[in-house]
Amino acid sequence: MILTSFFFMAVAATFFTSLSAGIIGSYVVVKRIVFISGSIAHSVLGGMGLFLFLNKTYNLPWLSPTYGALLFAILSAIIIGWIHLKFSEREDTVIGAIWASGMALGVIFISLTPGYTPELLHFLFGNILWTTPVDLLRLGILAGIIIIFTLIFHKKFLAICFDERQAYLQKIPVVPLYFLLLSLVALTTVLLIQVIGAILVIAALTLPPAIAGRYTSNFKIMMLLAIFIGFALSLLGLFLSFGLNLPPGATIALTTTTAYLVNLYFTK
Amino acid sequence: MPKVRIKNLTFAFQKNPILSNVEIEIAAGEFLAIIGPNGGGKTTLLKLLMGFLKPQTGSITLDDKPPEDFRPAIGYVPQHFEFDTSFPISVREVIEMGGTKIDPLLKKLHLTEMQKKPFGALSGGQMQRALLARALASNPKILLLDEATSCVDIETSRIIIQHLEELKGKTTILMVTHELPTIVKSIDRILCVHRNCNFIPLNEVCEHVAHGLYPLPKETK
Repeated sequence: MILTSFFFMAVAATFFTSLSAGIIGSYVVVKRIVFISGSIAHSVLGGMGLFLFLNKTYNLPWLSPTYGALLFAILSAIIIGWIHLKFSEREDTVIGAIWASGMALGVIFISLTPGYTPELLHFLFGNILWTTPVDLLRLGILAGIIIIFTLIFHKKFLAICFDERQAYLQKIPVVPLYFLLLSLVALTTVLLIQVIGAILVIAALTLPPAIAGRYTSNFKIMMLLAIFIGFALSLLGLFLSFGLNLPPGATIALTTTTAYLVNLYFTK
Repeated sequence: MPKVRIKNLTFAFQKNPILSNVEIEIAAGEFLAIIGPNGGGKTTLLKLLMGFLKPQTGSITLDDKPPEDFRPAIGYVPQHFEFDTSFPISVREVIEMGGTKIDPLLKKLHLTEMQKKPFGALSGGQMQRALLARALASNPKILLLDEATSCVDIETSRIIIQHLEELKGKTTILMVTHELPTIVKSIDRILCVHRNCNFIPLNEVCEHVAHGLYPLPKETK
């Protein structure tokens, strides 16, 4: 009975994260900002480390590392967006620097944190089997926010993804929309950390849309397919991890990457 | 229709001068061909006219306004290979990015049958027609074309030029081209861009084209 409840929670969490990742990941893949998303995903470690350090050192139990992850994800999205707009010719190098410095900050704060920090492993590699009803509610709300923003701004997001210059000519507010899109990437990243962990987030965010993109030339269908593929592969990974007694986050990531490579081979 | 005025313009990229001391006036409704060698500054000039690049000195005005304020009235046809052919978007969706009333344009530019096709599946010439349709869908007052007839067959080139001729007098047209002989009969003036910008007398070019001497001899470039 307890096992069933754990599993139901895990399946529900997987559904919400696949929903968000399928939608936002599709923009990430077509806009070719996978590297940017990777940087956001990894720099959250700095926020987690900082909040975990404050939490344990000053006994502030309400200061959850998840909020630290969210704060750093949004901050790095803003910094990266600004770099993209101002220094496009050195963009890759600067983004790489943010990626590394976020992780380095996290490692330093964690080393300064007193006592044993088992939470860290959950954040790095996911803790889907420990999903609580509160986590599920939070995942549902965040997925709802992402869906609402997408319904409102889809056409404009598509315009800036396809041709930024034409979007400027059409007086579309390219800069605010670009920041909004990166903020939604940041939000989705924090959601995915719950399932797959910060280190493996990029696989769940980008590979299902990349697989979907090889079967359709309609963006909306690509999004729907990405949601379905992401959910199916996450479930498969979850069952395999149960059956083989392996860590679920890593098993889901490996299932997804295997599916991507096999698909790439057969659809080349 | 805007009158284009460029005064004492200088533009350099990372200290490499691209355009210097450019002084041009283009009348409203004029159809201008822009020619010049690769790297001479033709595309840079178009980007300056759209306000995507800022000159180091001098000014550009379109109807006495800076380019940024004139953007919604600018139609731009970029080179087709700038686009990601794997992007999941249909021809119709691309053209609708310019405006909503697109059916007459689809018909005129022979795109009706391919409107549901993926944009990335089109040939170079078909893409150029679709990008022209997108630019025209916004009813532009000024149309900037960057090698819109490059890599297209004779028939596609004819369709594009025929449409531009219809717009002549109603829209100011600036067209970067390496195929001057195909449009020489339709244009009003020729601007040669090579660091500096100079107008070349049309009759001189026509004579060269008639005698099969195009590209122009070195001294006129």
